[in-house]
This record gives sequence, C-alpha cells and structure tokens, in this order.
Amino acid sequence: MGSTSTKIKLRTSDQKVFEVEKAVAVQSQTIKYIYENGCPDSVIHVHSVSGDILSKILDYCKKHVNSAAGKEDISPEELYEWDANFVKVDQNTLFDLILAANCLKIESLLDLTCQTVANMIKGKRPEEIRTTFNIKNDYTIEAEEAVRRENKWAFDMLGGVGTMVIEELADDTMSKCVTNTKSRVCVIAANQIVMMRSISKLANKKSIDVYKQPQNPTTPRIKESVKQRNVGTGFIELFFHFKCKM
Amino acid sequence: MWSNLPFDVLAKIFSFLSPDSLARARSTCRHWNSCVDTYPIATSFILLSLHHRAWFLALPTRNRGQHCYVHNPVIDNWHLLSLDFLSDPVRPVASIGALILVRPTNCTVLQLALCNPFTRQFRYLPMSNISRTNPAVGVVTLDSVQHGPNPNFRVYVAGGMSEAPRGGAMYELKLEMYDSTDDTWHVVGFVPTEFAVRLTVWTPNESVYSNGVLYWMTSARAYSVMGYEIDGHRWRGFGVPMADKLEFAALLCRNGGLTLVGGASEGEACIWELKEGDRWGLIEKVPMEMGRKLLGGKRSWGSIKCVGSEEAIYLYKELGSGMVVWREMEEKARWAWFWIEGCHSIGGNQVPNLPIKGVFLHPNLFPFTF
Repeated sequence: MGSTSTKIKLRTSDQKVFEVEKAVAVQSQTIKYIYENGCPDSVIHVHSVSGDILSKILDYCKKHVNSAAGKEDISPEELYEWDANFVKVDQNTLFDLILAANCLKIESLLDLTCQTVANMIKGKRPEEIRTTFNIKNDYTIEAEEAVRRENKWAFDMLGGVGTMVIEELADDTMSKCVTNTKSRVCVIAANQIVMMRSISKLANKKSIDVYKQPQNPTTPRIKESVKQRNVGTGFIELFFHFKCKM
Repeated sequence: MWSNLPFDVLAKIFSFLSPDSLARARSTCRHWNSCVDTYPIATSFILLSLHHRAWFLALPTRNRGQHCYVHNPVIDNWHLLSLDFLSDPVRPVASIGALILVRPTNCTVLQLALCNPFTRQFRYLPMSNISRTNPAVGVVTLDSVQHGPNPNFRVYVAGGMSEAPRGGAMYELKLEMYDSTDDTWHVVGFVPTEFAVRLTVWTPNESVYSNGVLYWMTSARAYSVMGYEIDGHRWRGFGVPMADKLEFAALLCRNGGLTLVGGASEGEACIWELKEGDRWGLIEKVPMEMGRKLLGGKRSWGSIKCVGSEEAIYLYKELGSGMVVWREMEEKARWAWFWIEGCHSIGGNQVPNLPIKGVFLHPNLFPFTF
C-alpha cells in the first residue's frame, strides 16, 4: 500500500509545480520512464506543457486511474460520457492537449483527442475543413486540380456544395447539418444509417420524415422528426432529433 | 496551427478517417497531403470498425479499362473509380490487402500485375520461369492483419499449358511460386497430371487459402474441390454437397476456415463450412426474401456470383442488381444479413447495369513501393 501514497512533483513550462500521486503521473509513459530511470525525489520538468494543459491532463489521468482501480463507482458508459465532455473544448486547447498527450505518451488520451479531431474532418469537403481549422490553402491552382483529379472518386457523392455527413451521434441528440437542396444527406447514428431521400422535394415543408434503414428487413421503420430552416440561396439548415431504438 | 502538426500526430488523426474522408482531407493543404504520401497510416488496430472494413470493388467484365465501381460501407454509397491509368484492360485474380492482383486480358500467356486503384498504381510482376496459358493461380498473404501498402505475399501458379519439347503444347506439371520478398519465381513442386488438367480446363483463376492449404473449385458440374497442402506438397480432391444440383458455387475463407456458398435451382442458397475429414457442415441459409430479391424474378441461381472477405460474404449479380450480404457485427461472433442497394447513379449520372466481377479491397491511399 506504500506505493499508492508516493507523490511525484511535475514542473511545467510556465514554472507551475504540481504534486500528483505516482499512479496518476505514470499514466504518461514519458514521466514513467524519467521516474524509473532518473532521480525519483527531485522534480520532473515537463518543458513543453503549460500549467493549464497539465492540470486538465492530470484530471483525465486521475479519472481513468480511479475508474480502473475501482476507487470511483463509474460505469464504462459514464466514463465514455465523461471523456466526451472532456474534449468539448476550444480548438486551441484541443490542439495543445494533442501535442501534450503525444509528448507525454498517454496513449488513451491521444486516441481520444485524435478521434475528436477526426470527427471534425469526416464528411467535409476541403473548403469546409479549411474553414473549420483555419487552414490556409497553400496549393497552386494546378497542384490543387491535380490532387482533386487523383482523388476524384471521393468527391462524386457530394454532388454540389456544402454536404456534410454527421457521424456517431448519441441517442437523443440535437445535431445540425447544412446542405444544399439538391443532394442527399447521409447521417450515421450509433451504427444505424439514417438516410434522407431526395431532399430536393422538401424545400417547402416545415418538417421532414427521416427513415431509418432497417438492419433487418423485418424490423419496423422508425419515423423521427426533423425541423428545417432556410438560410438563404438554396441552403437549408436541418436539425435532427433522434431517439434511436436498438 | 493545424496545418503544422507533426506527421506522427497527423497520421494518428488520419487513421480514424475512412478512405473517402482521407482522400478529401489530403486536398486541404500541402502539409496534410505530404503526410498521406510519406507517412504510412496504421489502420491495423481498428480493423473491424466501420471505417476500416474491406470495400467491395466491382470491375465490369465487358468494356474493361474505363472505370470500376466501389461500394463505401461507411455511408452505404457507390463511388466511381477511374481506371484510366491502366494501359491494357485487366481481369482481377485475387486481392492482397490493399492491392489487387490482376492479369491483362489481351495476353494469352499468363502475366500478372499489382494494382492499387486508389493510388492509381500498376506494376507488372516479373514473368514466371515457365511460360504457360490458362493456369490456375493462388495467392497467400504473409502479413496477418496489416493491410499496409506493401504487403508480403506469395503467388502459386499450377497447371496450364506450356510448350512441349518437340513442339505443340502439353499440360504443365511444374508448380511455380513467386515470393514478393525477393521478387523472384521458384519451382517449388509438381502437380499430378489429373489435377493439372482440371486446373487448366475447369478452374477459373481464383483460389482460397485456408490453414496452410490452397483450394480451387472446379467450375464444371459436378462441382468438386482441389486442395494443395503447401508445406507437405500434397494434392487432394474432395466433393461438395449437392455437387450436381448446384447452379453456382463459390469458395471463400471465413474466420480462417474454408467456406462454400452455393445455390440449387428452386431452392435456397446455402453456406457450408469445411469440417474434419473433408466433410461439409451447413451453417447458414440465405434468407428467402433476400434471395428472391437478388434473383429478381428468375428461378435460376446460375447468374449469381459470390465473394468474401474476413468479415463478410457478398452475393451479387450485376452492378445494379443489389447485393445480399452476410456480415460480422461489431460485437463479434454474431453475423447478420443485410441488403445493399445496387449502383444506379453516381453524382447525378446514370450508371448502366453492367455485368461485373467483384473483389474486396482495403483502400489504402499510401503508394506501394514494389
């Protein structure tokens, strides 16, 4: 029982010092290595991480250590929700968390943050990705045309401007999708594909029916409600309200 | 900020993207594009997740060389993939992870090539030592679950006809093997004459590898199976259930075991698994409704084809007919039946109902370096 009360001191790039339990700190493979191979009594410098970020990271590590050790009564679903809320941060923080998780070698946090960024990329056209992440398009016109031509197949289902695919929605989620009225929208919720058929016919309706594509031909189709709002020039904003029955 | 992420981190983010999302992401900026081109993205650890399933590639059997059609299982959508980088029309022989082994159709002598339709690469394998027409080909992939851009594999060529010493043609009895690790062909064994004849005349160029044995199905009635045990250099033949009643029959590997899918007239299509002693056990039947939908009103299974990957079995007909799929679910050990709509239009353009040959592929945008 002695080892659980061992504390490790960590000093950040902005000279803040954190004292944490060893079990929490060694979630970071980097810290673990330094602790086991260096001087266990002195302070470990985490040069590339600021105090704010390290504080958040330590919250994450503590939650996961306590949950795994049974110190906290939390179900896997609740932990999953906690993780989902953990990454609901502004982009700068998310960026810093990724780099810190990479540098500190915390595999599960790196997976979580990278998956979050990937979710922000999925289904988007390059223009939309650039807007989301404030990325400058540094291609020459010829180079960009060449890349698009080589990857032409991935653009053909979008059929127009501004189609977005929303993936991995939790049950009872409100979610938003912007699309032009000529294309089809595919929404994937909890591994069930919900497909909207020919929304070009729906421009004048207040609400549209969304049909769930049944996994098994004998399960009944479930109708959900969708509200839509015209945002001008052939674009509509759709709000989905789901209750996914498994 | 985001356009300057180090490649290892960016590659990790990209590993969570499905192939079409990745293809669009790389068009964002030069840094992201370089990452896809130069840093192999490891997808092996999330193999069965929705975003890393094998994709069904449909190659038209006529009008070859123009396009192929690929089904995206993530969003249940078809993509048009141009094959204009091919100099000659080709026929698929087998899939090797992210690549397809193909043979040009305009050549009577066997020539094989590797193709990645997503990176638009095509490379001929060296010619085998013995020049032969119409042999049977078998492929063994050596890496277990990598599906990386440069897989290690072996190609076995058996049977076929070669030039006889005094002119004319004879059945070729030497078994040759190509090893990708040294890019060379070797003679590794012999084929008994009766098998060589069957491999030449009655076997389409496809085989299934399971538990150290390469299996081929003879396509004539009555259907039967030939197996070559690679390590022991032993050939054997055995029968299949309802051998003379089946209108279509296909071999595939499912969960590592040899599996047979076949349909008899007026009946259902069935799936059998090979058990001890070369006996077959029935494990599943295609649901009646789906079978009828695929047959489209016809009673004969003769036009049905079948292809499988580790986690799915697809029964198909033409490009627009739709497909009946038996697939492993995310919670393993449970398989379920689905219907996939055929390809009728892409990007607003009508697609003709072409006859096709299907192969599975794990799309990889990283160029191979063979």
